Amino acid sequence: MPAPDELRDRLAAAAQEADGAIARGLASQLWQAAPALATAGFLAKTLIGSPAAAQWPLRRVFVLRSFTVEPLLPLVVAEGLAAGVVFEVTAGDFNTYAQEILDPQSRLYASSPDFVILAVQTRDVAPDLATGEPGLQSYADTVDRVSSEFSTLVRTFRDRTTAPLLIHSLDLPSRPAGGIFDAQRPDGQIASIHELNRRLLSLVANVTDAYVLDYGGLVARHGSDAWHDPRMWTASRLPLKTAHLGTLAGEWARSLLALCPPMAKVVVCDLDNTLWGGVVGEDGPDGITVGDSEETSPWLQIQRALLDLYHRGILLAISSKNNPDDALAVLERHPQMLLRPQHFAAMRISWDTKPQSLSDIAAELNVGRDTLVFLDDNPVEREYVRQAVPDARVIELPADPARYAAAIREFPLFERLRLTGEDRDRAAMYAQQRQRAELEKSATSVEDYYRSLQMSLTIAPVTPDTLARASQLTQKTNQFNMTTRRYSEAEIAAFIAAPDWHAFAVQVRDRFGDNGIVGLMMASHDGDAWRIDTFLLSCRVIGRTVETAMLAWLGEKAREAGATALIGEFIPTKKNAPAAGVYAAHGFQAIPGSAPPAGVWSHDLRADTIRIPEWIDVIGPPTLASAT
Amino acid sequence: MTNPSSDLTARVISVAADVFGVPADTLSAASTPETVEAWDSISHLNLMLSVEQSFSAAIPPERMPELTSLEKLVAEIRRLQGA
Repeated sequence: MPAPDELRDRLAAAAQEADGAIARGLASQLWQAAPALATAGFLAKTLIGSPAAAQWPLRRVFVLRSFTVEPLLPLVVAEGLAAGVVFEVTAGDFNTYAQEILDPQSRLYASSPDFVILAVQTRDVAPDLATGEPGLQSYADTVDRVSSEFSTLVRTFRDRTTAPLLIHSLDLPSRPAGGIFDAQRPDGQIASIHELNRRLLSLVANVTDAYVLDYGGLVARHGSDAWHDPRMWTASRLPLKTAHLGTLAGEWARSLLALCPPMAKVVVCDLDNTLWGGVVGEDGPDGITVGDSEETSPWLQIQRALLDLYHRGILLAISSKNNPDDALAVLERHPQMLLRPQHFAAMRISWDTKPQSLSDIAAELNVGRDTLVFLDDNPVEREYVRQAVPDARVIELPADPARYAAAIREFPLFERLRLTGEDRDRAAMYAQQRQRAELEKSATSVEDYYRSLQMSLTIAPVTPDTLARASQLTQKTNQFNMTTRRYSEAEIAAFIAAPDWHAFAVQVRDRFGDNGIVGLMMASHDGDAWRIDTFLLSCRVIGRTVETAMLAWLGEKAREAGATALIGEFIPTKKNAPAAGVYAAHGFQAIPGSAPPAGVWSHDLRADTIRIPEWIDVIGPPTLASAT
Repeated sequence: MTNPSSDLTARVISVAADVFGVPADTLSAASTPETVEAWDSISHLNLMLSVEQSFSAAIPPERMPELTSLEKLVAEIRRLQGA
């Protein structure tokens, strides 16, 4: 990496350009090279108000605090600038956090912050728990008092503002007053702080957009004695040593950046000497090194770190200069690999340049290039990407591969404060989609492709367990949605309770995995017919004849129940063109007076039968309780 | 740059310019809170901590309030490094 002085000169020039990408990359490099208050001051005076930073998102941060935080604030600003975000950070008055939360006229609310940090320590909120009392004194009253204070503060805060709130957890004293005896007491000093933290966690779990910032864990990670500076505490009420200012500011910034829309969505990894040791094109698939133990192998540690990101919803992709057969031999068959082809959402194993691969991967995954993070052991490739694709992020790796995994884990933009089921499955879904696309390319005909997918549908009445997903599908499905009617859980619950309504959830599996519930059909009795109120399919599975199987199955159920016709409606929107021709394609007739494709369509169940495609297995419920 | 004393002064001025958010050529060894508008009690603390970070020197907290010119700061760093 270039020297800090050179980076400063280049940054000063880049700050005057309208495109902020180069300045952001240089700020990130400079901050990594010299993460100190002086650098923070330089970044602020060079970038804030500059043309380069004019388009960067601005977030106002308010820090409620019980101790001196002023030296931390420029460091938080610098962390933001290094990520391309302008944090405008204000601290509340010293140790007045309670008044500021309780007083609706306070500076806190007047400043309409985007994010708020409540920075407290055990010795400020619960002095007797920090100092401890020898002997058998009970801390139960303190625990009750402090947890009730937290509860009042957090709930009052939430009533007055929607700003996300990050609350410090409480740190443990390094030496409890009772000595080793304290550890024997379920209600001792240490146990009581743990109890308070547990209550804090259940408090934030029940308040929207409130989060714990694990201050206690952070102090413990670095050691209470190494963290605290008693002399600075006495002189300035600054509790921590100069060496740890950056540690705490960095931890704050990780949370603040996680509250911004995700900036890093895909890690694009090199292979040789990044995921394994050696060069597969020279050493052969058996000659490269992966290692046997995660305790000792840097390569397995790197793969584990990436696998952890995969489970966080961050997509993995490969950009490697190799013969595909060599690289795939390792990915598919090397016995010790943790990462396999099914973990990767996109693969560029070719002799293309890295910048070309990055652009291709962004296009294939339909994400902005600025959401790509490039991981490569080769500093020349990293510099090439910095120059040629300045909007992508680059992880600076140390020389020693044993430090790579830590560099991946410490990269702040991979942090998430919330994780939904969808996030957890996202990386797998994308990877399966890639494998389907590959299969489609290799298939000789479209039928051949459908057959090779080995699809099976499970169709079942919507139950209380699947209600939330059914409602979510009506809310989120825009393309393949015949009527685009949005329903709450309560509304669908009313449908499934009504005797003349039927609601069916459709789950789709194929050889690459389970897509989950991706289709919904709801119909009501209309004279001798079933009228289809809602018919939708997630875009994840469109173009695979799933809708034909669904309509065939629904027609059969309606016929079993004595209906003579299926009636469907198509209500055009700006987005649902993919669903426009569905009823016509399945033998429905437009009812006179309606204007195709919009309007009402009817299918005579006595005259015609829709067939389930031979390449789809449909597993339906044996009988329908409410369909008689 | 051959004179180690003026080199140290230049480095302290550079750190102070970053902390105060001003160009380095507006500061000199004689700069004090009276001559630098951005030098208030908060930026004074940040200056002390910046010097600790940049020069790997631990300034005793009780000395900090006395270091009210860049000259005095340079002398303090020299004292700490010599010690």
